[in-house]
Amino acid sequence: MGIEPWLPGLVALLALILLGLPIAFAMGLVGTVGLVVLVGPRGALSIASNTLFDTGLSYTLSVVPLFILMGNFVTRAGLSDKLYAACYAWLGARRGGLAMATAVACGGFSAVCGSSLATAATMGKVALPSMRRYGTSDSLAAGVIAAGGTLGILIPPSVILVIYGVTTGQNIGALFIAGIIPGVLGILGYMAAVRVTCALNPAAGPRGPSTTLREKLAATRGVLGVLALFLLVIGGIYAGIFTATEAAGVGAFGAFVIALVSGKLTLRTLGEALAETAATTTMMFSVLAGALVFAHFINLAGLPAALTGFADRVDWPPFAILALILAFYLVLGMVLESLSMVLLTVPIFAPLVAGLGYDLIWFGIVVVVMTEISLITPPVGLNVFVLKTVLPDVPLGSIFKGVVPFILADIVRVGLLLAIPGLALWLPSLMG
Amino acid sequence: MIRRIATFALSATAAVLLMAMMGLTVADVVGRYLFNSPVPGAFEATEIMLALAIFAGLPLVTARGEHIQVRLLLDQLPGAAVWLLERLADTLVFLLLTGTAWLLYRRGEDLAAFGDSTILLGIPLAPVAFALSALTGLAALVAAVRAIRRLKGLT
Repeated sequence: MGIEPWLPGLVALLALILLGLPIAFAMGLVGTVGLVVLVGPRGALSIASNTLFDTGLSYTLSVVPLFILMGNFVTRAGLSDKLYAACYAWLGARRGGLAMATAVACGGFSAVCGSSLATAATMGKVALPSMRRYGTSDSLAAGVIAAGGTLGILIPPSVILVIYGVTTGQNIGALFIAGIIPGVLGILGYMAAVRVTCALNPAAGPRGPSTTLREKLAATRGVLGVLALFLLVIGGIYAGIFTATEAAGVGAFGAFVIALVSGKLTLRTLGEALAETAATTTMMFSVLAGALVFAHFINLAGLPAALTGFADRVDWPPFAILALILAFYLVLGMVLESLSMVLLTVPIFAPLVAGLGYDLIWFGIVVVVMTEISLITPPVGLNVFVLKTVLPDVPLGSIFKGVVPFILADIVRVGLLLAIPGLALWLPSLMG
Repeated sequence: MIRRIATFALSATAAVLLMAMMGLTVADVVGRYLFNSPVPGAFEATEIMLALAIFAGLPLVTARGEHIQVRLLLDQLPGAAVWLLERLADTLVFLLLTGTAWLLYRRGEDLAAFGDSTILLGIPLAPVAFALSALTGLAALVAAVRAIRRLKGLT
């Protein structure tokens, strides 16, 4: 047995990515060249052209732009301000209250937005000014937003979960529902991280001015729109009224109506929301198409089979192999951004994990939580860089320092998910 | 000037397609639940609109250099090496887009030869493939222009 062709393939891919070739092109190029080696030019080009055409013409994937559109409408309707105001009204007067309010507001925003970067960027603009005004330390403020933003890809809708579902053939609706409890755990974990930070250093999170009950109720009324939208979209999926694609269309339309009613939607902002959606969609689909070609190559080259064979031979307990995979995610997450990481690793690991007897819906949630951690760990914590653009005067080092308690909370969450798979699997098991 | 008109035309196309996808999905769901009659062929129309919207965005994303890229190593390298690597990446992006346009064109020819069309609406698929090929070709052209401008240090 000579050298397996997937090894030079993986090495070439990582080299091209690190040398600055855009990820979509690196994956497409290495995948196609690899296929030429394996099945000859004719077969390789036919696989590549089928993949390109079929990825574009995919009904299931139309959920991606529609959910992105929903998030963009919601952002332009100014719902992020109202969410923060409501969370602040209830939590702001406690110690570290502004930061806790931010964690909850990020979770709320995630419920209508499927992207972590958008959640961090939007909530950053809303929550930072008020946290700074009342003296929350920069590193805590930045940390809570960077971490809270990661919830965007776990709390449904989630673009990453859609991609995971398409790659592994799992039901996207079930994946969404499975993300709810771990997402709520994420919010609670981040609130706990804020409390611990403030207990260690009371100056980090001073109290905000308190609000009356009347103000609390008035602020709460402002988030009814978000709540209704979430219940419509996710409730509709849960009850089996909509497929994920239909829910995305209905959700985008609902967000459009909310934006219209808010009076903030002009022809100009409508155009911006649509253009931004189109650009994000194209970027994501380029990576997706490249990754699918690469996955074809990796599969034909036998990497998933080799891994399964390896797992059989070493005869370790499944848990040990899973731990190894998670460690790998932690390392890879330091280099790759989230979409590419999921697309690159899931086709390789999913067959192995399924072979070990784990549920692939559950594994999807675990992968997304690992991806969330990768979004806030150095050196390529993308959410941290998003915040850096909102907060140019705070050094990167102090943002990363502020993120540490939240990473610890995330690690506890992964541990819980591993110990109690029902946290992810219980809700989908009740679905209509 | 041409650049601005083309940018506007492509953005507007993608925008209209997205709004249409949204509207069509809603109409389909409402039709099914309220009037017991889903929009016939909504599924197929959505697929084709999605593909056109994605590829209409390709020249735009390429022009702005917004393809996802890892700069971790580039940021550590000396300027001359970065310059060289960026020129190589620009060239590869151009070549790969050209190759993609060619693949989609070939696909269009195959579809035309078999006369493939969608099942319910009978939309012929060859023109769709040719349109995707043309949009990718445009993206390749944009990539070439961008590569040359960057080579001259203009952008």
